[in-house]
Amino acid sequence: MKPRDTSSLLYRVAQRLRPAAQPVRPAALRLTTGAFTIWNNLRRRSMFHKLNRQDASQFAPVGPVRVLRRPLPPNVANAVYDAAQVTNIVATLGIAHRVSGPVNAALQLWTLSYRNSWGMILHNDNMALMHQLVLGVTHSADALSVDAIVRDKTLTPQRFDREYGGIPTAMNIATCAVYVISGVAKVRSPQGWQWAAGNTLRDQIAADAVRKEVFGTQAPEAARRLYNARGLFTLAGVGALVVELGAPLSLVNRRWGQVFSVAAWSMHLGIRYIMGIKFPYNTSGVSYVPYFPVGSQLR
Amino acid sequence: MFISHSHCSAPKPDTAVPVTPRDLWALAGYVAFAGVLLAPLRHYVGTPKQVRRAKFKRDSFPLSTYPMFSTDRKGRIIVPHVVGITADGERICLHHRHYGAGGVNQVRKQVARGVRRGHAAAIAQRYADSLAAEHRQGRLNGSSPGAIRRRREAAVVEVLVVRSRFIFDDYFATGEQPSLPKEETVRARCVVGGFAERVEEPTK
Repeated sequence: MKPRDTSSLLYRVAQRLRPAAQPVRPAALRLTTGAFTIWNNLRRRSMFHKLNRQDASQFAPVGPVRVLRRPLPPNVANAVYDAAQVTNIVATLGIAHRVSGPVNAALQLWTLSYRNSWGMILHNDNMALMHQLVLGVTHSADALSVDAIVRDKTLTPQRFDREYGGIPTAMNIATCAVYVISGVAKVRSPQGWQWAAGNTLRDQIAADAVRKEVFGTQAPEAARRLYNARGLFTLAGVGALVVELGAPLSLVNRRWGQVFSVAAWSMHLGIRYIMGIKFPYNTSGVSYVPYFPVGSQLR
Repeated sequence: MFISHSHCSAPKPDTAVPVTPRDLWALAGYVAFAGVLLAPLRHYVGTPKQVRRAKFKRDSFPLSTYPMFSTDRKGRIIVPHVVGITADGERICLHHRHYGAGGVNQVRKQVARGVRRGHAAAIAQRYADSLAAEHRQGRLNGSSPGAIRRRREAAVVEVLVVRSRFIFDDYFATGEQPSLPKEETVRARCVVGGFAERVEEPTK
């Protein structure tokens, strides 16, 4: 193709999904996602270690952990978990990232899959993990890293490449996939598109509150207070479907992506308030940083 | 860190960078990546019955079917759980920590599976042993959530593994206090400090 045939469809697709950018753009994502996951994993360290000591009868391996027939000895599982936290710090700082990035991606995949291999598959680590996988195997440490200081003698090398602009797109594809599948799950439920009426959502919030209380914890006050506010649940149901099924549009236009980010973030704050379910990567806003420009070259 | 172009004094770089074969491969890679991530959608193809089964059975990590919020509960729920009974006959919902780590949903799932597989007595024993250990340790003073819970559970003399049916409209009609279940079946019981026995007795 002509190098600057700017009217061609292919060129426009490339400009949208793989805009030329400076290395600071993915580097900022490496730092934000890395810092979040370092904090989020370390605060759960004792919980992970307790899970690793559980009886083998509770072991139900998922994902890559399916290679195991029985759980690892607790000391080994704990050592792997701790190694994953060390590599996470090393990769976030951008030290030998060509090696530490992929190694960290693999270790995070293993330890989080292992955490979900005890009979309950949780859904609050998926997005952060996928973002880490993308950042780990791409050139996300060419700026704001130890590698950049060693190689280029500066934290902000002035290179300009489509590869750097493509990394946020890959992360946003992962974000969209999570929401789209969640949306399809709802409209393919027994209620179908009637899910938007909010009854299923209201029942789910009630079920969650009952479960929390019968297992000796406090249900969010809002669940009891809002249970009879049917109109609110219809609004929330419609909003959730619009956000989830409309997620792919966030890839088409940068401004739509930012609107999507705010809407999805608000949805998670609502879930946190009414159900007490934490999606910390989402409520912190870190999961939506790839939708926002970093660096002077991007509008 | 977040700098929009309009606030930047540096000259705007030339963004009309040519598209190279490497970029085409990358675009194909995005499509393949999206294909892999969206692969769980295949479990939503089929009859409603097939979908209902597959979305839970085929859920995995990190490629999930994200089935949460999609179950049609028809205004009620059945929950296997564990209650403590005091000498005065008061009923206390026992904390999930007595069974294991990982949070309320992790324990809830493990208890439900255990009851389904006929291991209710083992669950009762585990809760009773945990309560007995806490009774021995004391640590009832203080205002931490743990101390408050231990004080509340200190009077428990027996634990029951039950399977309770709740009607949401009834449950949330009682104001601030949770209501009792509509129906309940005891699956096992264990005196704190004693040995568990499996039972099958309707209590309500």
